[in-house]
Amino acid sequence: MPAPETLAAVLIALAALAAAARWLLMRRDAKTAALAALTLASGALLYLTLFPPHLAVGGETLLVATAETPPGTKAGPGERLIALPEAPRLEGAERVPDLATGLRRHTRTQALRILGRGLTARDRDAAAGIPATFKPLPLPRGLVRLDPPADTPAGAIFALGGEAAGMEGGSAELLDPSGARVDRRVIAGEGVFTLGAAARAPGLALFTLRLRGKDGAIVSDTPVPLRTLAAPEPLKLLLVGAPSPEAKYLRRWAEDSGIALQSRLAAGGGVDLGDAQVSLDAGALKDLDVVVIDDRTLAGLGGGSRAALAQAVAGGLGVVVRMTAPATAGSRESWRALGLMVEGGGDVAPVALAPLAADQEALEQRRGPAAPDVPDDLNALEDPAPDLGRWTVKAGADFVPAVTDAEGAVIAGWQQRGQGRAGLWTLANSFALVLSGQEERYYQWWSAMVSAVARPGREFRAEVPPLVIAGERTALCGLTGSPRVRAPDGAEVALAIDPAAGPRGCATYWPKAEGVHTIIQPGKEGERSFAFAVLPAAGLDAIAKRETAEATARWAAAQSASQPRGAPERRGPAWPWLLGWLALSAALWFAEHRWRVSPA
Amino acid sequence: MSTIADFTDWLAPARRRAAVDTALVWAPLVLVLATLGFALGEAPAAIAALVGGSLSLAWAARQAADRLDRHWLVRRLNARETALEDSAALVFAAGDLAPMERLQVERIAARVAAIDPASLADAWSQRRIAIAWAMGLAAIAAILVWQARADTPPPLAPVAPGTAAAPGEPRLTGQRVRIVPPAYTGLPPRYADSLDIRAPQGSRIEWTFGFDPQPRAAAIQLVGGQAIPLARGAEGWGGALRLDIPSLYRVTAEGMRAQQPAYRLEPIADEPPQVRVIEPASGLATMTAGQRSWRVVFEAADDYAVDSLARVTITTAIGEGENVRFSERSQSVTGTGDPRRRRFTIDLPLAPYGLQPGSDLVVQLTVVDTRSPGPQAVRGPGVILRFPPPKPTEVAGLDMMAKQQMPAYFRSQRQVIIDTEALIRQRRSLSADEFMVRSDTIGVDQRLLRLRYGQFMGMEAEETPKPPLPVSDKDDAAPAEPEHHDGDGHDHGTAPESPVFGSLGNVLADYGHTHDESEAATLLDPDTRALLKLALDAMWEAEVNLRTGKPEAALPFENKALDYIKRIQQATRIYLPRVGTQIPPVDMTRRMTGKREGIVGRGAELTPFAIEDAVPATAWRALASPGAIDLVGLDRWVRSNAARLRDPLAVLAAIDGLRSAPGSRAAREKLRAQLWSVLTRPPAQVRRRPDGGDMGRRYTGALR
Repeated sequence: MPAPETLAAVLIALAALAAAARWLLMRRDAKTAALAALTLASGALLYLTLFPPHLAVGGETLLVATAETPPGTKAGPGERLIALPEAPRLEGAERVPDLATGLRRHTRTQALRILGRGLTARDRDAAAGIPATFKPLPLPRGLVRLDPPADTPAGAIFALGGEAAGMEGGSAELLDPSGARVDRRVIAGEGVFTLGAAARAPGLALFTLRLRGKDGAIVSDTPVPLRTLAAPEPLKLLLVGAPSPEAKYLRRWAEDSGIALQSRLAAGGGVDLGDAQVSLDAGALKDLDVVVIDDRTLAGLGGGSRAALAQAVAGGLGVVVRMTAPATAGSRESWRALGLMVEGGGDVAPVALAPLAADQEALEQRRGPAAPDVPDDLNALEDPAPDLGRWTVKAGADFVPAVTDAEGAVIAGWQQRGQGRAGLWTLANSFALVLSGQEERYYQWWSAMVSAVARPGREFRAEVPPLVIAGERTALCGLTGSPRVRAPDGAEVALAIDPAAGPRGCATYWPKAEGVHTIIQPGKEGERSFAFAVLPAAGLDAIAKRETAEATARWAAAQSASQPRGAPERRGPAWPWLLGWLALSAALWFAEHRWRVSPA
Repeated sequence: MSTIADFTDWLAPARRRAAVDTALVWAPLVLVLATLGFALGEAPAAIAALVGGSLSLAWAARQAADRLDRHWLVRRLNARETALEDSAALVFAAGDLAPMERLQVERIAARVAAIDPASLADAWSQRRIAIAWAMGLAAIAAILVWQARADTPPPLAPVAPGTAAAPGEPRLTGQRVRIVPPAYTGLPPRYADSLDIRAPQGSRIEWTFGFDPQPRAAAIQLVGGQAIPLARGAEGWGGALRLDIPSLYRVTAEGMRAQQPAYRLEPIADEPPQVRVIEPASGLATMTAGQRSWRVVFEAADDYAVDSLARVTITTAIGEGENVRFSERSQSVTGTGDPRRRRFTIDLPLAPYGLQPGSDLVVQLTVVDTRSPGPQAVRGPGVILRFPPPKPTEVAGLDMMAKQQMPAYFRSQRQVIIDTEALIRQRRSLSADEFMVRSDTIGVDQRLLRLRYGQFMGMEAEETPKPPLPVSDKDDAAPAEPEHHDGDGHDHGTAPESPVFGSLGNVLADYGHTHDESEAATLLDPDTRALLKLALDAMWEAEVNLRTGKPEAALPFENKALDYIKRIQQATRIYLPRVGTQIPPVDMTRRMTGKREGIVGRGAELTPFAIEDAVPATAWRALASPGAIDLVGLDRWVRSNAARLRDPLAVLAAIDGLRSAPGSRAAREKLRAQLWSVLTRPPAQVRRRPDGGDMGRRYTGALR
């Protein structure tokens, strides 16, 4: 069935042509030809009356007022102003409960222009279907970005990042829970800063990020949660190699940091200074989490042990190969068997060490209370740093740095192989750090390296967004079964896991009050808990504004991109064509009448 | 002969009048001075001003009276009475008169006798007296008004409402705290701004409180201590305390039901003075050829004042190697300049000391501050004048490999010896306990020194009892054999020169302690390291004797250690070995025998890191979830560890806050936050990476 337009066009054309042909068959002169032409024209006008042509039309633009829309905003010609609930009072604005309602009420809207801070999460969920523009307001003065520290093992250094707007020349300070300053940075022109401190006992602690203006006045205090992790079960580490200072201080660190340590230190002549009966076979390696082995011992291992080690790495074991000499083709070959694809390693480059802390006071705060018989001036900030050298290795993109020096050069890194990871430690004399009084740095480096490669754990660890704000919906992931959340006042809320989230196991939670909340996850081994801090909205105002603005800009860009570029069209009115057709038909009738009366 | 009595009778009224007149004119000034003295200083100043003023007033009055003499009398009489015919001088003449004159005297004498002596006196200088007294009284009044205004304590300051009080319950309405620092600090008394008090140690704190309504009794309750009852005075309730130890207090009154907030009492300890060397610029000066004298300038700084008298100790170490003789003498020196920052200049003539090449002269300054009671004495850094020893022979071609080695702290062993000798000398004058304490202190010094040297050796803990490479010679095979000695009839075999891998291990085994793995000491060449080990052993013996109170027994070991250290110093060039292991020398008695018995692989044991904060760490964990807390134990722990904590009062205040409001979540959170500053930072621990759950495992498994 052809379209009505086509059918009508064919019928009208046939009729008009037939009429015109009849005229021309009857008589052939100029007058008749004019009549035939008029008939054709009349047919064309009849078609246009039935199907008026498309005309480009300009629909109206919807102005959407959000929070902090400047007062005195008015709709111009072709515009209509609606105000969302968070918008201030505006003259002539129509209040709507949300954007979708506004769009439903104004069906002829062809474009959106968003004013103010931007749309809240409520309005960004659905696509509007029409192009949208948004020009963000300048950011307010204060903290506009906060990247809180990741979960930190006890005793390790953590770092947090932030950005402050309009604070050039001011300073950012990190205060520990008791209110003592542990770090301080002057804010440069871009406003980006990084602060750090050391974690102590396991648990959740609230640090404070304090911004000070140029004059030293406090601009804002923002709570920063720090989760210090407790190891649920000790890591099992095997140290294999020759007796050496490095082995000595590694053992010291492992012992002190709660690692279940075994060692095999061959002193030659069949003498083993470590624990007796530690063998490198598949059965023993299955129980271990990390093996630290020096390159010579690795090269000297028997084929069976090497194969067992490579097999164990694929099964989840972590191996750290400690370089004690320049790499040779043979040693690289033995690394390759473990999954470490690196080249080079023959040249030594100096290691750049960053200062331990910003100043002596911050260093003391970072170290915490000292033992009573340690002199105050031992291991001060000004003590010289040792000269360390690292072997420069070249590796592909699969080689992930775990420890880098102050200039970003790789000191240690790892590569995935199956479930496990094989790492390479390129410093031969890192123990010199301990001898120079920088044992914290030594421990930190080894902690980072061993944490990166160790066999993965299966303890319950929920995924919580970095900043959970009171009164804002948040998504908790990594849950199974029937978890629940305990609020600071002791009230418990059962969580419903969203089936649409799939294996991630996410549930929505809407914290009402600030404070430490605890996720309780019942499981086969009893209940496991995971604490997270809910922060008050007041201190994170500027951050929320920046996030709203960025999300709105993204949303607006997505709306504009999904629409075809062409302007919308619509059929024009039919009556002008009808009048034309009537006039022409009347003229035709009259002319035909005259033509029939008058003799040829 | 003269009918007129002595002319002094005639002068007496006039003299009296002049003296009193002078006294009256100047007395107000004396009074003003005395009042001023009273206002500025104390009563003694006022009395001194009064006595001094009175004496000078008396002297001035006497001067005024003495001006009236015979000439004045004659002039006055002649001027007053024309009837005396200018002959009054004759009446009061001292010597013999001519006959004519005598006639005239007789004629005049009767006229003179008719004159009243009192009428001769000057008139009262009324205007001057009036002006002086008016000004004097005005000045005194002004001083008194000023003093009264300055003396008036400020009115009671309002108190921030801490706790809501029920109607009828006494409420703290006003407070005033006066802090009187100890006199030796020289600080004026002041009024504190708030009830949290920070003042020099030993200050007297005087509180005045206002309550509404008036309670029947009130007290200052020290947290965990006694209560100081307050006495009711005109302005309010007052009490005082001497500030010696940091504590918390709260103001209580009878009838108060709610727990009152706690305030801090924090003494600022008097710091011991600090001595700095100004001249010479470095601690070690080298004597130039022909130098006759040496100038040393110290600067001593203290928070209040440094006593101007200090002692200089001059120690000489003359000789080389074993043959080093020490002598010590001391003299006092006077400082100059601001009491807070005194300078002590010492010009030493060098001739009396008889210095030889290679000998040292050490100058140290001992200063005291003015604290009372118990001035603090501090021995400053020593500066050394060294007579340069002859140069050792140079080794050619090793310029780049060798490193000049002269640690700055190699002279402290000498100080230990000096201290020990001084202690032995003073043994008689000391009690047994004090002797023990001082010997132990020197032992601690010796230990610190040994630990610092031990860092060169890679030594970690001195209490590790076993040698690193054990053999079965002593511990393992011992019980089988009865004890026997050389010369008891049977053969022991030749005693091997190096029964272990290298002789060093044997030395260690003999002495019963170890320096752990020697590979850590990569900075010293083997010979120097051997010397250093000997020095360390000697130091260890010395330390044992010192700490058990036997300095005499320790002295030979100390000297031995010093000698070794001297030799290490003289080994000026040190060759850095390559990084890596150093194999001990081969034991020739075992070599090629194929015997392995006796070699035991004993697991190297490590003492785990003993975390000293079990109590606060437990509390920190317990506070994270609701439940009871051992506040008493925590309180005790904080008090016993107060010295090494940064702000123990803040923790104590938080403990007290929780104790007074056990159910308060805010108080729990506050205490938990304060505990953070108390926790020890453990060595960095390890965090396991998550395995990504079942999905993650399957994904990584499928990656291959």
